[in-house]
Amino acid sequence: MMKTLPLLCLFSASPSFADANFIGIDYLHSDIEISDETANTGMASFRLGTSIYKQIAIETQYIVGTQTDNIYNMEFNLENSKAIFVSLQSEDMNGFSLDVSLGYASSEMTVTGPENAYNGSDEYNGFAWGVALYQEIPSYKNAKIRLGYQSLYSDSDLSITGISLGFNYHF
Amino acid sequence: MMNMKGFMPKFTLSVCFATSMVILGCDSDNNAEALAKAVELESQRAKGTIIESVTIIGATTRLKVGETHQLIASGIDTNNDQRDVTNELEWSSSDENVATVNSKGLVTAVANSTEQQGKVIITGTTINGIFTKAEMSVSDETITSLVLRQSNPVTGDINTCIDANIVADVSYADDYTSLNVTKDISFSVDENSTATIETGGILHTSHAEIENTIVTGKVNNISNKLTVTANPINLETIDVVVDEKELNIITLNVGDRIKVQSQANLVSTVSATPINIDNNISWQAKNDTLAGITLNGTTKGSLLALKPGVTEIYATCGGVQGSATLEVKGDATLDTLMINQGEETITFKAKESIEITLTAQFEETTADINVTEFSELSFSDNELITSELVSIGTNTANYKVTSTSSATGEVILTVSYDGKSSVVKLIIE
Repeated sequence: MMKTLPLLCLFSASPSFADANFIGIDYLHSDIEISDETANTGMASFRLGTSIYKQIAIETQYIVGTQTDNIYNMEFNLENSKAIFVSLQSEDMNGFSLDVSLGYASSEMTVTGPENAYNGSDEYNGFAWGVALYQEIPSYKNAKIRLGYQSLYSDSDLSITGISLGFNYHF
Repeated sequence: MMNMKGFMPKFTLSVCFATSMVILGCDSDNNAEALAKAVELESQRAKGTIIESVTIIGATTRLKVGETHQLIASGIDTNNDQRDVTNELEWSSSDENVATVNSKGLVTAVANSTEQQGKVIITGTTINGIFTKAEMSVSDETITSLVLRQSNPVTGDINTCIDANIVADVSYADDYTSLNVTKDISFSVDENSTATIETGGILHTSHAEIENTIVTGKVNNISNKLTVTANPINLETIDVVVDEKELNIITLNVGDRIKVQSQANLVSTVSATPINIDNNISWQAKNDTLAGITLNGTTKGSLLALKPGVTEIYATCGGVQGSATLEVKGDATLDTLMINQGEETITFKAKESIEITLTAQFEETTADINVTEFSELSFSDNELITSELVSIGTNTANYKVTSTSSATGEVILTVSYDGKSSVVKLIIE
């Protein structure tokens, strides 16, 4: 409940006449770091967002795993991740802009391996953040190329981050 | 498109709201710690570094309430390599009401216990389930006796110049014996010995001949003596070391300060690797006007290049001498000696202290050098003040001059270095 209240307040304060909406799709190369080892899985990311006040937007993100990776003989599959962000966007400068996103993510990861190793599916929920760079495509003013970095989960044992490349389309 | 623009904001906000409800409704449900352990275990399996046996060092020790004791765990892995696994183990205590242990093997005595001599079992378990136990005890029983013994080496003569450890097995009124104790024990050596012993029972030796030293350990009114024989027979050579490299030639500019260290090479049957002997070495510069070396204290071996020229630096211990040639470059014709900022008088209050720093200034462009440590200090009246050299081996070395009484007066202070002198009047108010 403590986590929900601030976001509910944010929604209630946001105007209902938001005037800029966007959708996006990216390829995300994840970096799962645990016990000084790393697994890199491939994922597809779908985003939907709307401006709520000047350069501030609300963005939701759904990521689905497309590729698994192994650490020794343990297979890591970041199956999906759901996230919601508040994005602070910069002004456009010659078609270039950036944003910083702060939010909350819930990621589901399945690990399979030999019988005596760890086997199971777990949810990793918590604070998430990201930064992204945008470059407008000259021929299509509403479309932007997006290069981003996201941290979806981090604690003393595990971190899930990713680098993404994709497009945004603004209505 | 207008319809789309009207529809999208409401749709997007609805999706955002629904998503936030879904996400925030999720309870955190993960086993990151267990997963991390599983990955670490797989990593060790793959690398052959999985621990097959483990030993705890520092067990069978008695503590009083509030005291802590660090246990060290040493493991042997599949490759037969030994490593410190203290931070890899999962530690647990058989009775946390008596003693707790943290994840780093640090035991804390919580409460005295009279049951079973206050014993508590500390268990360290590896990631693959190999475990070992260590006995600790928490009690405030009085000490009845102590027996000193060598810890490193355990038996026989110790090697002169190599630090040796003296410990005590301490017995208590309830017949419990605590092993390898150094805490609270006051160690001393007999006055005929050249050896010294520091807190913690670390014995430093440097005599050129075989030397017997009587070590006394005392706690309260109970004491014990141990005769330790230091033998230099295994000492072959001594190296002068700078920045972890053995050097025969050291080149410095006037004003440079470096740390010289020493290492002993023992006969190969005793040790195949050189051993640091900084605590036991004696340093000397053949021409001490060219270079000053700090001889004692925590900055022992701090070498300051004072004047251009070539000299030898000697490192001596156990009748063996190592040396390196020191070449000091630069121009350093001494111009003036400045006391502090060049004041002619310094005023301070009775029973208080001031710092006196002597700086050598040169005719050439060579930067000024703090030469306080290598200067001589004298006073016109030794009854009013005393002096103590502090911060030796550093560029902030100074004489701490203290007024010894409430008497007021004037004292002429003279500082000499390299044939020159500088004078300042001290006024004690």
